[in-house]
Parts: sequence; C-alpha cells; structure tokens
Amino acid sequence: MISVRSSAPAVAERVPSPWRYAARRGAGAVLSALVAASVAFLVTRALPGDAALTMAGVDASPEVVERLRRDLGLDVPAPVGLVRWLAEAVQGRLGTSVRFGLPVAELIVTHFRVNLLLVALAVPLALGLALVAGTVAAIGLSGLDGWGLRRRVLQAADRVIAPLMQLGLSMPSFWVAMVLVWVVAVRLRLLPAVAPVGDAGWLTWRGLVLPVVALALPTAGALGLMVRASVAQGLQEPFVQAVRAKGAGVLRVVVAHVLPGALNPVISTLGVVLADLLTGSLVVEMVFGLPGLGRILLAGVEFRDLPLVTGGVAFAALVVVMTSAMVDVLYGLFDPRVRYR
Amino acid sequence: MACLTREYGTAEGRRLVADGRTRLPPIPVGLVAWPIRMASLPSMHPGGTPGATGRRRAPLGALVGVMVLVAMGLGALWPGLDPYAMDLTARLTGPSAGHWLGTDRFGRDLLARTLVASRYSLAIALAAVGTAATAGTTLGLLAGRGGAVGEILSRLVDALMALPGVLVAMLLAVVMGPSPITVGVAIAVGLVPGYFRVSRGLALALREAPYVEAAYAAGASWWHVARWHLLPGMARPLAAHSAASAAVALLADAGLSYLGLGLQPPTPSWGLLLKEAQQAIGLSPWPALVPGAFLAAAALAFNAIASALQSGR
Repeated sequence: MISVRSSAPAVAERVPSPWRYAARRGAGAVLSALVAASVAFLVTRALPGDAALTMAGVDASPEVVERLRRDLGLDVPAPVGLVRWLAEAVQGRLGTSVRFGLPVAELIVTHFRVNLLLVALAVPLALGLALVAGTVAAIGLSGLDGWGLRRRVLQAADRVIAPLMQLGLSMPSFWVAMVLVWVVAVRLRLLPAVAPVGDAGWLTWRGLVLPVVALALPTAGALGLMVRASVAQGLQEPFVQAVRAKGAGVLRVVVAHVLPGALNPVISTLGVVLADLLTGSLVVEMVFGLPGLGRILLAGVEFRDLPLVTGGVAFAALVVVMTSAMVDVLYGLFDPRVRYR
Repeated sequence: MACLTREYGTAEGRRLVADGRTRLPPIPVGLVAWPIRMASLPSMHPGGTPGATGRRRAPLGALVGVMVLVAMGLGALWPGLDPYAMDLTARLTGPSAGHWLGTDRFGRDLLARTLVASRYSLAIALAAVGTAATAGTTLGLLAGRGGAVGEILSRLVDALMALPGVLVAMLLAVVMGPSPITVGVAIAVGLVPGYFRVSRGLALALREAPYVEAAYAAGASWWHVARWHLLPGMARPLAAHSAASAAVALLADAGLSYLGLGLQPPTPSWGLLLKEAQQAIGLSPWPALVPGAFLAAAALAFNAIASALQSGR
C-alpha cells in the first residue's frame, strides 16, 4: 500500500478542543451553504431563457413583463442581484412566491415540517435496522467460532442479509413505497394508502408508518452494508483475540469493543445519508400525497416560480450542510480523531 | 544527466505510441471502452478492502450482473417492440400468453413498454455517469496537485455536495423546462463530487509513489504524469466507482422522471411508467411491479459489478 496521509499527525500534539472544532466546522458549513446558495441563484441567471417572459406568457404586454422582471430582480446585473438576494436571504426573506402569492420563507417552513418529520422518524429506524442486521451479518461473515452451532446459523444469516441489503441499496424509496401501498394498504387493508391529515393539521401516525418505512428501508440497506464491512474489519483486529482469550463472549466483544470503533465511518457518512433521506422524502411524499416541500416545489416548477424554487433549493442546501456539520461536531465530542479533520 | 532525462521521456513516449496498447481511443469511445479495459488489467494499486488479500472469491455476482445488463440491452433493442399499441380487451391484466408481463390501464403491453423505457433510462443514466466521470476525475486530478487550487476546488465541491440532485433538477427545470437533458445534468452534478473525492484521494496517495517521483525527476510534465502514471493507477477504483454511480444514476433518473422533470408521456421511461402505475395501484400491481423490478435488477447488477471490482478478483 502506498503511504496515505493519515488523518492524525504522526507527532503527538494537542488534540483540538471540541469548541475549536465546532467553530471551524461551523464556519466551513456556513461558507459551503453560502456558496451553494450562490450557485443556485446564479444557475437561474446563467441559463438561457427569460424567466420573466416564460412566467408572464408570450402574449403578455411588455409593461407586465417589465414589472415582473423588476419584481424578480432580473433587471439588475447578476452579481448585484446575488448580493441583494443573499442579504435578504440571511435575514430570512426569500421574496414572494409567484404561484402562491405568499412569502417563500413561510411556505417553505410550513411545508418542510412534513419532510422533517419523515426524516426524523426514518433516521432512527434505518440506523437501528442497519446496526442490528449489519452486525449479525458481520459476525457471520468473519465466522467467529465459539458459538458452536450458532456459527452456522450466523453464516447462513449473512448469506441472506447481505444480498437483501444490496437489494435495498438498488431500489428507489418511492418504488418501495408503492409496493408497500399495494401489499399493506390494498391487499391487507391494514393502513391507509394516502396519509390522512388530522384535525390539528398534523399527520396521523397511521398515515406515517408506510412513508417512514419506505424511506428507511433503502437507507438501511446502504448503511447496513457499511456496518457489515466495518464491523467485519474490526473483528480482524488483534485486540479482539485478546479480549476473546480473556473469556468475553461474542456479543460482548462486538458491542463493547468492536462497535465503538467500527461506527466511525458510518457516522461520518451520516451527513450524506441525511441529504439522501431528505431528497428521498421529497419523492416519497408524492406517493402518499403528503403536503411537503416536494409538492410546493413541483408546483413552483410547473409555474416557473423562480423565487420559490431558488429559495427552496437554498434552504435545503442550508439544512443539509448544517445537519452534517452538527453530526460531525457531536461525534467529535466522543471521538477526538474526528477533530483533526 | 540532462540528456539522459530527456531521452527517458521521449523513448518512453515512442515506445508507448509504437505499442499502441496504451493509447487511448477517441473520447466518446474511450468513455466506455477505457474503464472496461483498464478494469480488466491486473490492478497495480487495489483500492480494495484491506482484509481481502487472502481468499479470492469468484466474481459470480458480477458475472450475473453483466449477463442481466446484456440481456436487458438486447431486449431493449429487440425489433418490433410497440410500447403504444393498445389492446382494449385486455386492460390491467396480469401475465398471460398474449402479454407476458401483463398490461397497463390502456391495455398496452408492459414488457414492451418497460423494455423500450430501459433504452431511455439506461442512456440518460450512462450519459450522466460519463459526463460526471470526465469532469469529476479531471477536477480531482487537478486538486491532487495540492496547493491553493486543490484547496479551493475541494471547498467548491463540498458546497456542491450540499445541493441534493432532486433540487438541482427542479432548479434546472424552472429555467430550462423539464427534459431528459435537465435530468441528465442534474444527475451528473450530483455524481461529480464522488468522482472528485475518489480521484483526488488516489492522486494524493499516488503522488508519493516512487515511479511518480521518478517520472518527475526525469523531467516529465504534470500533465504527462497525470495522464500516463496517475490515471492508469486509478483505473480499477474509478471503474468500481463508475459502476456504483451507474446504479445511483438509474435510481435518480427514475425518481426525477417520476416527478415529471424528465421525459414526458407518452414516451416511456422507468420513472414515468411508475408514475402511471401509481394511479392504478389499487386495481393491479403489475404496472408498478414490472418496471420497478427491471430498475432494481439493473441497479443491483451495477452494484454487484461495483463490489466485485472493489474487492479485487
């Protein structure tokens, strides 16, 4: 193996404090979000096509088009427009939606809670499934003996679980959602196919089960494969033999000695996973007709609603960047190695 | 010494050109042929799993994967498929002798529709992967030089990662309108950071390799080193990453088509077929099951090929 730069310096030096790391990581995240938002804004400007003209329609009078252009801020050069838009955006003002006639920020926040709810419920489910299935598969894969007959069972379990996880990785969540609707809602009639909204405007838990499961299953497959590879590698470490020699059972070895170290790569990809789940929730909500961000953004796309879609994209970028920074900082509290990154 | 170094470079160059084996085909062919050929060479720097040195498993999964993809390609190009012919006497039926995999709500043959759809879906996904591979690897090699350029590029790509593909597609669709190009570009934008990370990491690692230092010492330019010493060393991991990216691209294409941001009906694509199927899900599962199964099979095939390439035969 060619020498790869290790993440930790070879010479012993002081571990960066969690606060320092949080500040550095937070600053980087803010910068990333600003760049992403700027890219989103500039893309709408740089691409061919006159947004104002398409919005107003070809038979609109020139005055109407001109007014729309001024309202959208399309009459100033792109850099000026960008600075103005960013200055407004950091104060939480993203303009007014052309399609709905409401402030974009308000629209986004009210609809985003659906996606937030879905993702917040799907993450623990996916993580839990991935941890259990991935660990069982890893024990089977590395063929730890000492459990007698159970070794065979575990190996067989790996042969079943690993392909299933590969399959999960290869299915889009909205298709999983449709299959679940057919099996659970249409055939078994256990849960509603379309999520009903309760009196308070909130979703009922019965309506949330299928979307959350559909969202979590593919992610659980991807995460589970990662856990499996990571734990199986951890089980090869010499310290595992030492702990086993002291008489620790397989379960104790895995849970107390291997998992803490093996979780590092899993947790460091959690930011990406969250972004994937958020994206997935935009599509899955369409299957169940949930009033989420995906629905209004699609309506915005149909209507060429430039402020709404640009604002939505910038908001999503901010959410993605901030959550992954938060995951990193939280994990840095427990694992000092993270703070060197 | 100086003349010796100059001769090293030119002799090497002449030998490579005379050999013909190491020469890259023109770019469009190269995008497809190069990863395949490079992946078939024994890997110099396996990016595989560290523990996988001892036991070598036959890439059975990858073989099956290739067979599935070839069968799907042949099926897609089968002459005489008519995805629009309606058979109003057989609407929303299950598999039968006349319609092997059933029909949709207009009595159109699901197998024909799904096979024709796979043309569009596979083409869009693979075009996006090719574009992302070219752009991402070039940027990654540049960033692998280190220095300020590398730092700035890394920051930019980090920011790019914050833009989820669906949202990029919506953004593009607002301005350009929904089209396969919108979807393709959005998928490619989503895939660039992955290629960037893989190639940059490998470039940074290979930079310290003795033969790279030797090439620099012999007076080779950065471009020469990147093209003839770094890129061949990355072929295997990049090929594995491409296979995994193709699976991701297929899923993303289906999702975006499902949202109506890509191809428009009545042209079939996997995502559009699923969108149509959803309205009839209460009546018949076949319109949803057939395209979804094809999509999952194709993605699974690419994933199997990717994991075989990763672990090294």
